[in-house]
Amino acid sequence: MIGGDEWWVLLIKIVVVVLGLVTIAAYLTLAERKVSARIQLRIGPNRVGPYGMLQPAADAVKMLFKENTAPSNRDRLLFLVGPSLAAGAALLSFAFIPLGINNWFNYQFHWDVGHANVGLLFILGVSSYGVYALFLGGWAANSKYSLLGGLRASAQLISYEMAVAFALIGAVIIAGSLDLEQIVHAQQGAWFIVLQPLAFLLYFTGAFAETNRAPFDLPEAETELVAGYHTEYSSLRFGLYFLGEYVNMVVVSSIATTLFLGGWLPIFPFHPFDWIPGPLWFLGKVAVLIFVMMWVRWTFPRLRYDRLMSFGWKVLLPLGLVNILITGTVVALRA
Amino acid sequence: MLSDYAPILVFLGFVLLFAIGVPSLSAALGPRKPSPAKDLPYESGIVPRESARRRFSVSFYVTAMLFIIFDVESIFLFPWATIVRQLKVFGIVEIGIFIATLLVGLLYVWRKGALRWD
Amino acid sequence: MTLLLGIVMLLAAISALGVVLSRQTLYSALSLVVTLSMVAVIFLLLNAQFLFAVQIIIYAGAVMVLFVFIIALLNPEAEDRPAFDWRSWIGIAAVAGITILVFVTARNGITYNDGGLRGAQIGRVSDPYHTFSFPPDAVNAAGNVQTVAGQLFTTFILPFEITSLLLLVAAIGAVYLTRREHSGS
Repeated sequence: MIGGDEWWVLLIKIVVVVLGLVTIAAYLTLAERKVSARIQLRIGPNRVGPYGMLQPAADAVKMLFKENTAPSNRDRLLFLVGPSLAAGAALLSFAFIPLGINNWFNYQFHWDVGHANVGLLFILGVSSYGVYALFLGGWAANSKYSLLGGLRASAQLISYEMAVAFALIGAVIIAGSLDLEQIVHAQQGAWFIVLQPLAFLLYFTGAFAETNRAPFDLPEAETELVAGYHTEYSSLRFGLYFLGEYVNMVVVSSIATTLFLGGWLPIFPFHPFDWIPGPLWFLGKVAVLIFVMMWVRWTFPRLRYDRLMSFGWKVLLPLGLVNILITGTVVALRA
Repeated sequence: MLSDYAPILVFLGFVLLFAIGVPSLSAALGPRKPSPAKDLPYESGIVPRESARRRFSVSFYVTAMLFIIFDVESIFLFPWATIVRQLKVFGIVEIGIFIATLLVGLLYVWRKGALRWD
Repeated sequence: MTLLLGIVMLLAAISALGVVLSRQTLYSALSLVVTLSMVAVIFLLLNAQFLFAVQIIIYAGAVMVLFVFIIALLNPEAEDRPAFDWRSWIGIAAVAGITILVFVTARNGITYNDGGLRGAQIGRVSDPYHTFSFPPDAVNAAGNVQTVAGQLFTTFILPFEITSLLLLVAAIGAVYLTRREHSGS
C-alpha cells in the first residue's frame, strides 16, 4: 500500500495521468488550430489522417528528429533546465486535482494521484516554480527577444498569481477547507460559480495571464518578440515549453472546475444526469473552459504591456479583496 | 498523514524521468550540423552586437517587491478563510483591519506612481 | 521516514554549500531555491503541511524570484574569491562551534513526548504561554490549516495585526527605494 492504493493501482494512475496529459496537450494544439480555422473561416489541418487527427503525432515525430540548435554564448546548464522545469511543474501540479470518487464493492476509489488537506496551496506552490522556468529559459539563451520575453512572462505571472489567489480565497471561505475533495463536496447544494460569480470571473481572467494566452500573451507577442522566451529553442526542447503551456491550460481549467463548477458533480443531482460518471463530467467542464480560452484568443486583440500590468494591480487585485471582505462578512453573519 | 505524500514522490520521479528523458531523446536522434550562423542568437538576420543581458526598467523590480508583500498577505488570508464560520464577527473585524492596512499600502503605491509603466 | 528525512536534510546541506561555493551569483541564488524547497520538505515530513506550502509559496516562489530578477539583470561578474588559508579555517570552526552551541542550548527548551517528533511539545510547562500540545490525530481531524489558523487568529492576534503594519512599511520602503527622479513633478 502506498497512500490509499495498492502499488500497482498507483502505478497505473501515474502512467495514465502523465501520458493522458501529454496526449491531451498534443490534441489541444490540433483543437486550437481547428478552432482558430473555423473562427477565421478556414478549414485547418486536414491532411494527416481523417480530419487531421494524426497531425499532433506527425508534429511530435517531426520535433523528435529536428536538430537542437542553441546560441553558443548561452548558459549551458540553465538552457537545459528551462524547458524541463516548465513541463515538469505543469505536470506535477495536476497530481492533486481530484477527478472524482467512486465506491466499488466497499472499495473507495479516488480519481487522483495524491491527496492533501492543503491541496489548493500545494498546487499554487508547485506552479510558482513555473516562473523560474520561463525566466531562466529566456535569460539563459542570451538573446534579446528571449530575455525580454522571459522578463515579461515572470513579471506577469507573479502579478496575476496574487489576483488569482485572492479570487480563490472567495471560494475557500464558503467551503471552509483547502482540501480539494471537500471543496467539491461543499458544492452539492450550489456550485460556487452561483455564489461567487465575481470570484470566478476574476480567476478565469487571471488564468489567461497565468497561461500566457491572448489577450495577455505579451511574453510571446509574435509581432514584437518573435516568440518570446522560447525564441532560441528548437526540437523537443521547444516542444516541452509548448507542452507546459497546454498542460497549464488544463491545470487552470481544472482548478476553475474544482472550485467553481462543482468538480465531478453532475449539473443536476438526479437521473439521467448522474448516470454519467464523475470523471467524465469533470473532463467535460474542463473542455468547455478550454474552448472558451481558445475562443477568446482568436477574438480579442493583444493588450499593451503597461495596460496588462495595471489591469492586474488596479482592477483584479482590489476587486478580489473586496470580494473576500463581502463574502467573509456574509458567511460569518450567517454562521 | 505521511504516506499521503508517497504517491506524489513517485509521481515526481516519473515527471523527472519524462522531463529529462524527452529532450535527451531528441538530442540523440536529431542531426547535428553546427555552423557559425546557427550559434548566434536570432535577431531578425542582423548580427548581434552586444550581450542581451543588461539592466531593465526599475518597474520589474518594484513589481517583484510588491508581489512579495501581497503574496504574504494572501498566505495569511488562506488559513483565515478556512475558519471564518468559527471566528464569526471577530474574524471579520480582525481581517478587516488587516486588509484595510494593506489597502492603504496599495493606495500609497498607486498614488506614488509605482504601478505606472512608462 | 527517518531515512527520507536524512536524505532531504543531506540535500538541503549540499545545496546550502552550493550557495556559498558556486562562483556565479545566479547559481548561488538558485541553490538557495533548492535549499529552501528542501527545508519545506522537512516541514512536510514533520507533518506541517501548511508550513510546507508557506515555505514554498513565499520563499521559493516570491522572495527568491526577486533575488533572481536582480542578480540576473544586474549581471555581476563572477566574484573574486580570496584564497582559503589557516585564518579562514579558524573562522569556520568558530562559526560552526557557536551554531552547535546554539542548537544544544535550544534543545533544552524542546521536550519530546511519547508521540516522538510529530507530537513535539514546544516550550516549558512553567511557561504556559508557549505550551501547546497538538497530538497528530487531533490535528488531522481538525485539519492542519484550521489548527494553525485557530491559534493565529485568536492567541496570536496581536502579532498578526502587527504583520500588516510591517507589510505596509515594506510597501512604502519599496516605493521609496525605487523612486524615480521625475516623480515629484
